[in-house]
Amino acid sequence: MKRFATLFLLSLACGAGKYKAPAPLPSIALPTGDKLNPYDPAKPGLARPAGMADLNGKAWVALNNMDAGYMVRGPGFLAAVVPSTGATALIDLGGADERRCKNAGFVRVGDNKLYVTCAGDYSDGSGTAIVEVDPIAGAVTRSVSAPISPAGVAAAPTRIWFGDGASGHLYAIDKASFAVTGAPVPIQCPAAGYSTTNDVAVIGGDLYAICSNDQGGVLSRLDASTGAAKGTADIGPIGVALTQTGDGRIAIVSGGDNKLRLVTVSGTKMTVEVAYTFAQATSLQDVRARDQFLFTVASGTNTVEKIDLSSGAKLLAEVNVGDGAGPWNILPLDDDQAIVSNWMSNTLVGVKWPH
Amino acid sequence: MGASAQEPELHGEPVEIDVGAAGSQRAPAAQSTVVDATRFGGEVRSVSELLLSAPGVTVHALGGPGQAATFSLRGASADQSLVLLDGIPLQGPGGGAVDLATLPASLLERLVVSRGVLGAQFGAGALGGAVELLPRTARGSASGGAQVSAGSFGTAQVAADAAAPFGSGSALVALQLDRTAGNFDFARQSTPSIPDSPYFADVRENADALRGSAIARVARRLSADSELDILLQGSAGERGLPGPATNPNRLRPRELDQGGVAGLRLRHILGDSTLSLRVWGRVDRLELRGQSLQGFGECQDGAPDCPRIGQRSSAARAEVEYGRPLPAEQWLKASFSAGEDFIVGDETGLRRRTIASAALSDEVPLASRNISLHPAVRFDSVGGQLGLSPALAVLARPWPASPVELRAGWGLSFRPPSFSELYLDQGGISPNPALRPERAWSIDAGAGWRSERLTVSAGLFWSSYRDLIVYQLFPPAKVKPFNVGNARIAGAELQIILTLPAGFFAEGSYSFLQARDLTPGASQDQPLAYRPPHRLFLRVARRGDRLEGYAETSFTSAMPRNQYGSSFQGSQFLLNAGLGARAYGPLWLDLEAKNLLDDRTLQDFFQYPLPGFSLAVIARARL
Repeated sequence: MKRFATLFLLSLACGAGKYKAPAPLPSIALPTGDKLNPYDPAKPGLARPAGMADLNGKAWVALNNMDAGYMVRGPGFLAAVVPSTGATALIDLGGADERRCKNAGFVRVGDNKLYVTCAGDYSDGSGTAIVEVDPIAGAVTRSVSAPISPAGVAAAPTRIWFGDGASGHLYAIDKASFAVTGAPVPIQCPAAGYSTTNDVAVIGGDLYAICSNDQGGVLSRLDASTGAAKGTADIGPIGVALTQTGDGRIAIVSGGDNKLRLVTVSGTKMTVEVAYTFAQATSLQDVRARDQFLFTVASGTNTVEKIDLSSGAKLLAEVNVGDGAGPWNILPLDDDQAIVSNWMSNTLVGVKWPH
Repeated sequence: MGASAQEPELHGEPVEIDVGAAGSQRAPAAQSTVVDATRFGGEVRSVSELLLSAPGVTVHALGGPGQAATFSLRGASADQSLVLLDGIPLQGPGGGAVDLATLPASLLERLVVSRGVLGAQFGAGALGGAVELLPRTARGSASGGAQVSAGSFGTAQVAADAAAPFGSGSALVALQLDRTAGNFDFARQSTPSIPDSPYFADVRENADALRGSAIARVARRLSADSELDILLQGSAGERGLPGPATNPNRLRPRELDQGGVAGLRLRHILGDSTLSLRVWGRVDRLELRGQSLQGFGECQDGAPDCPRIGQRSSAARAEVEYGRPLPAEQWLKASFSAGEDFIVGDETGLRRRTIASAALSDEVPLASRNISLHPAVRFDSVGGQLGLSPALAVLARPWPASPVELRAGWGLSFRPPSFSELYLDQGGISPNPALRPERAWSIDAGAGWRSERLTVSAGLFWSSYRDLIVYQLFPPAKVKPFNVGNARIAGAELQIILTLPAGFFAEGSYSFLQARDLTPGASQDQPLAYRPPHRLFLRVARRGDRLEGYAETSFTSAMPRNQYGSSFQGSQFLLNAGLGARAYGPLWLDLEAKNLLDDRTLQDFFQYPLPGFSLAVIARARL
C-alpha cells in the first residue's frame, strides 16, 4: 500500500495523473432558426455564443440570439453542451413573454446554480435581467429584472452581485428573495472618462470588481456581504476579465494595452505586476485559470493563448480559431484542451494545446 | 518631333521646395513642398504615392490599389489636413478626411504640400496643413496625351487629356479610368504571439475597384483686364470592402461613390489692385451595400433587413478676394466668403450649416526686401462655431541673391467638428452635437539652400493640440466622439534635390516625428498610435530623349499600434523601379515594378494587408 502511494505521488509529480478530459469536438453545432424562438419567424437570429461556465461536466454557454447584423432576434438562451459529443440542451431564458432576458452574456456558477446576465437589447434597453438556472432541472428557477445593462456576475454566500455595464456601480440581489436589494454600490473608477464595470468575481471570500475605461482601470476589493470597500489597485486600461489563478493570485487581462496583470493579495494590500505583454495578440477578451496555467482570448487576432505561471509568465502556445471568429470566452476542459465561443463567426470550437 | 519638344515639363526641375510663387499662393511663407505630377510620366502613381515623396506626409492606406487612403501632415489626424482642388476644399462624405483613392492623379499637374497650423491661410481645419491639388492647365497651343497601363492583380488604367485654344483663352479636357481586381497574394501569421511563427499565403478577396474621373477647364480672357476660369471635375467609383485580414468580409459588401466640383472664377485688375470673384459648388454621394446598420459586421445586400446606407453631402460658396499694394511695397489681401454645407443621410438626417469667413493678410518687406513678414488672420464661422486663426511668418535672406533662405512661422487655428461627428447615428456609433472645435498651434523654423544643381530644405516644428475629438466607448455598446484628447507633436523635416549629369536627378526626404499623447490617464506621455517616428524616401531618376527610368525606396519605421506603447507595427521597406524607352515617335513604353523585394507581410491600419511584388506595363504618348 505504501509502495502504491509512492507510485501514485510520483505519477502525480510527473503529471501523468493530471485530469484528462474527453477530447472536445473540433466544432460543436449550435442551434439555429426556430430552435432559438425568434420573435419573427421570418427573421431568426444566430446563436452568437458568448460567456461560458463549467458545471457538472458540461459547458454552459450563454447565447446572445442576434442576427448577422447584431440585432436581437429572440430571447437569450443558455445552452448545456457536452464538449466531447456536441450534445446540446437549450434553456430559454426569455420567460413567458420571451422578452424577460435578451442578449445573454455572462454565466457564472455559485452553489450549484448558474447565474446569467442579460445585457438587453441595446437599441431600446429592454430585456435586462439576471437569471438563475438549475443545472439539474435544466430550467430557470428565478429571475429579476435589472435596472441597468449588467456586465459580470458573481455569487457570494448571501448575495448575487452584478456590475453596471455603463457605470462604476455594483448591484446586489438578495439570494433568498432574489430581488435587487439596497442602493447600487459605487466603486472606484478612473478619474476621467466613461466607466464600465466589466467583470466581478468572488475570490477568497471577497468580492472583486473591475471598473475601467480607455485611460485606466481600477480593481476594487469589497466585502461580499455588504459591498463595503476594502481596497483598490490600478490594473490598466479596459480591464475586461479577472479570475483566480491556481496559486491564489488574481489574473486580469486588459483589452486596451494587451497586458496580463497578476494581483497578489496580502492582508489589506493588493500588489499588481505586469506579468505578460501581448505585443501581437490584440483586444484581450477573457482569462481563465487551471492549475498553473492561464488561458486567454484575443478577439482582435482571433487567437487563444496558454500561459504557464510556474516560473514567471511564459507563453506556451497560441491557437488561431479562424478568420472572423471574434472569440469571446474560453473554457479549459483540462490543461491541454478547451472550448472557445466565437461570437462573430457564431461557432463553438474545441482547441488542443500542443504539449 | 523629338520627345524633349513634346514633354518640356519633364526636363524642368523635378521637385521644387517652395520659394514664393512656386509654392502655395495662399501660404507663401509656409514650409511647403511642390510635387510636380507630370514628372511621373511612365509610372502608375496614385495621389497618395505622389504625396509620399514630400516630407511630413504619412499615408494611411487601407489595402491595395483602389482602396481607401487618407493622409496626415506632421502627425496630425487625417481630419486635420485639408485637401483643395484648385482652391476648392474637398471633404469626405461625412465632412471628414478625404479619400485620396477617389482623386485622379493623372489629371493633376502639381501638388503643393504646406505644413503647419495654417488656418489663417487655408481656413478652419488646417491643423496639420493642407495639400493643394492643381489640375492640368491648357498651355495655349493644341496638345494632347494618353497613357495606358496594365499590370498585376488585374490593374489597368487609361488616362488621356487634350487641350486647345478656345477663343481668347484655352480649354482642357482630361479623363482617367482605373480598374483593379485587387486579388493580390499576401502572407500572414495565424499565431502572431509565437516567436518565429510561420507565415502562410492568403489572397485578398473582394478588393476590386473601378473608377472613372474627368476634369474640364476653360480659361478665357474677357478683356485686357479680366479673365474667366471655369473648372468642372467629377469622379465615380465602386469598390469591394474586403475588411481586415483577420476579419475579412464574407458577404462582399461594397461602396459606391460619386462626386463633383464646379467652380467659376473671375479675375479683374483694377489699376494697381486685383479683384477675384469665385463661386463653387461640390456634391458627393456615398452608398454602402451589405454593411450592417449596427456599424460593424455585414449583411446580405438585397435582404429586407439589410438596407443600403446612403449619404449625400454638398457645399456651395461665394468668395471675393481683393488685393492691393500699400506703401513700403506691402501687398495686402482681404477676402470674404460665405456659403452653406449640407448633408443628407439615412443616419444623419438633413443637416446644414452656414459657413462664413473673413481673412486679411499682408506681405511686409523689410531691410531692402531681404526680410519679409507675412502676417495673416482669418475669422471663421462654421455653423455658429466661431474661431480666429492668426499666423505670422518671416522669410529672410542674408543678401538679395543669396542661395540661403531662412523662414519661421507661427499659427493658431481650430477644426470644427464634422457632420459625422456631430450627427452620425448609425448602430454602434452615437453622435455628439455638443462637440467643441479642436484647437492647435504650432511654431516652425527652417533653412533652405537653392542653387542651380542643389536644393536643400530643413526645418523643425513643434505643435500643441487640445480638445481633440476622440471616439470613445459610450456604454454599454456604442462609441461616441468626445473632446478629450491632448497631444504634442514635434519633429524635423529634410528634403534634398540634386540635379546630376546625363539627365539624372536624385531626391530624398526624411521626416522625424515625436508625437506624444497628453491626455491624462494610461496613455499620457505615450507615443500617438500610427505615427511613424522616422520616414525616409529616396529616389534616383533619369529623363532623356530615348531612355528614362527610376529607382526609389521608402522606409517607414516601426510605429505604435495602440496608445499605450505596448503594441507595435513593424517597420516597412519598399523598393520600386521602372525603366522605359521611346519606341517610336512620341510613343514611350515603360515597365514598372513595385515592391521589388516581394515583401508580402506589409500591413497598414487595422491589419489591412498590402500588395507584394507587382508589375505594370505602360504606354504613353504626348503630342
